[in-house]
Amino acid sequence: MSTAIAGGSVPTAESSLSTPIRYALLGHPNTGRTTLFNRLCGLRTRTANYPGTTSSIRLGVCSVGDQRFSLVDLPGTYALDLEQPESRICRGYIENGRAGRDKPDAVLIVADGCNIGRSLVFVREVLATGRPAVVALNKTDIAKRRGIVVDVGKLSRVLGCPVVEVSGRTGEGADRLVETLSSPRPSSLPPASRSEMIAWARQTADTCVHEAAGALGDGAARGEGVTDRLDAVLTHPIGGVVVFCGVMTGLFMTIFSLAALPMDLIQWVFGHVGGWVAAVLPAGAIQDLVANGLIAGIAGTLVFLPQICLLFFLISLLEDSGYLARAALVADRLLRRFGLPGHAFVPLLSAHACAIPAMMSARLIPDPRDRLATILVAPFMSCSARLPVYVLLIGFLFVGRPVAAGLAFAGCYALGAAAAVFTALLVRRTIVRGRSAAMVIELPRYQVPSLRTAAMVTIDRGLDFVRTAGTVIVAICVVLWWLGAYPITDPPQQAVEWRAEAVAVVAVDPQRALELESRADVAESREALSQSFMGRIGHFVQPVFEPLGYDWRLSIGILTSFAAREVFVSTMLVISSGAKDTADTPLLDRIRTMRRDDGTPVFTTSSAAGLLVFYVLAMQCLPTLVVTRREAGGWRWAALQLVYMSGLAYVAALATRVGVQAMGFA
Amino acid sequence: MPRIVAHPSDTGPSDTILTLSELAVGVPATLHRALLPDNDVAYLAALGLYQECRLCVRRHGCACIVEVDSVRVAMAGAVARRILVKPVADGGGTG
Repeated sequence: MSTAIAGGSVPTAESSLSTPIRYALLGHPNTGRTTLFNRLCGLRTRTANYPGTTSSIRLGVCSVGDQRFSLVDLPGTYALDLEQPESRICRGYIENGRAGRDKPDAVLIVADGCNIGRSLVFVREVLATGRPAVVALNKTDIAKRRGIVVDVGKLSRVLGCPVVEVSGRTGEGADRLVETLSSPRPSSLPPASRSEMIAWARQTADTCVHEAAGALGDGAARGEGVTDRLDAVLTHPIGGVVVFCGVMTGLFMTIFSLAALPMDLIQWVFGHVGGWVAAVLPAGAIQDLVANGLIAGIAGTLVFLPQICLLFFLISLLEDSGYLARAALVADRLLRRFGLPGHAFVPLLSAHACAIPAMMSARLIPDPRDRLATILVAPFMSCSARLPVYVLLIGFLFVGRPVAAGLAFAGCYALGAAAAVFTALLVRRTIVRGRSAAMVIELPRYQVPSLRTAAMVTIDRGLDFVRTAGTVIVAICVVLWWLGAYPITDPPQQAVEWRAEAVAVVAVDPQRALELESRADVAESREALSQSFMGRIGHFVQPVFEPLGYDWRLSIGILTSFAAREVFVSTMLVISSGAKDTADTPLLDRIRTMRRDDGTPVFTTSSAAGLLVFYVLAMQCLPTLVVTRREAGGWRWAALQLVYMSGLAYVAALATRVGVQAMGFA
Repeated sequence: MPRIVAHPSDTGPSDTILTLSELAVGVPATLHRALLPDNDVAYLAALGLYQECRLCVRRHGCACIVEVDSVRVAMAGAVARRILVKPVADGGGTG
């Protein structure tokens, strides 16, 4: 038996094991829709991109007895008929599902139990689509505290569909809601104009909702007073900026400090796993692939997870508390003049930790043009992976001058930020044109944030990253490993001699033998890298970098660090090692004193300064490009980002080198 | 931007039309008209800021914060200057 509905039928309990009833979950932003979704589905969720957009929807499953329900958490929207992406997605999904698939059997409309009048306009609009519906009056725990009493039976009769009171935060009423999901009903309310719906909603609210006399009084007034006082500080032109800076500083200090330990742990674990695999598997291509390709690739993906999870956990807490909307308001005044909205501040600031979670957090930005512009400029902000390169090169440039070195550090960060805002202006006036909507934003009530919701969001985002970006990143790391490891070449003559000498002296001087073996290892590594496909590419592209003063070694360093910027330092260590005259030299000095084939130094003041500027501005991060493709909606944006940033870095590095030489430095 | 409307009235506050940015904090008013593109007007209406709705300004600062139906909506000054409101005499709530 099925209930006839527009565009399909609701599977009944008898058929539910094979075909769960598919619900579209709809509601205004800030009605607790996602909290309710998490409450109903728990961890049985996954995130999917809505076809043709960069907006994500979440899919979940809940059940009562043998009856299963599939829930699709659509983006929050204030109305179905708005010309906004969220509105279009909700409209499209109700009508056609996802690109013609997965059409919803029914709709679950989440209404704000504390503000039923406004929610009823939206409820009426959705009911007029003819879909069978269930209405969830959410936040009823707060509504009851405020003395708001709803005649649910009467409201259900007026709407023509079931109405259930529920609290997503406490779980009260959740079981009853799930039971009710098995019997959605289409409403007979006809479509109406917005003004008619508003009038109807007010009348309906007047007849079905009662506010207990006196209950609204003191508590509500106290709440308003607290909200007013908090808003007075948090949205103050100066005080708001001070608090905002404090909160953001705390946020990123927390991320930096708390993420360091698990990041180190991940690297340690995978380092040991790689070592164990290398010891267990017979030497050869398979061992090398697993130990240095696959495991290194997985480690290279998972190492980002602590930062990503912490960032989303803390952002979720801030959002749930009601502060994030106020922060966006404060930042809007600063960023709007550069063509970016206030919402862009969190992604841009978090890009100082890592561009990948930063670009993922750009989903907070409602306007798709603003979101795209933010994604395109976020990698200019100096991320933590650039630090080893900054340390190395600034150390070369300002030996024994800590103040100058500190200023140079600050200058690198300032240069990255300046490039980001300049590029944002350029992007918004050229390829991502169009008027940005002036900021109009609902300020949600202040409340104690839900740890449960934050944890669910964190798990969801983390898994989403591992599933989508992670798989591509691992694949690309394997390709880069292959380019760096093949073809296998004969060891250099010097390494052969060292090994022979080691064999000869091992009986009388084991320490010396070990040292010789070690030298032979690094010499072989250097030769293997030089002769590898990557090395050959380095030689091939070296003429491109010649104007910047880079030889083939630095060219290889730039190419290999395309996987991750910090790889530059380890690559240069490998390349600089092995020669007899450098084996006893401290590591960083070994790089600094490297010589070209003609005997001149690789690192001069001008080439090092140019290289520093290059690393501030260049898109030297393949995982970031993968995430750009996913978040911006296509490889063309990733390609544009790569070409623009690399081009700008090249020109700026060249200008720096010429400028430094003009000042009389080598 | 030219000042849109401001009619000091002899007949009482309900005949006065101000921009939202001019409305004093705490003074109840009804939304008279929004001089904005249709899409923006529709968005404001969906947020609860429709014609004749009752509202009051909670704060002028970084942005204009308006309360309507117990919901707070913040908007940039550029938007607040294009929304015309009529102060109401009874001093009732915003609901």
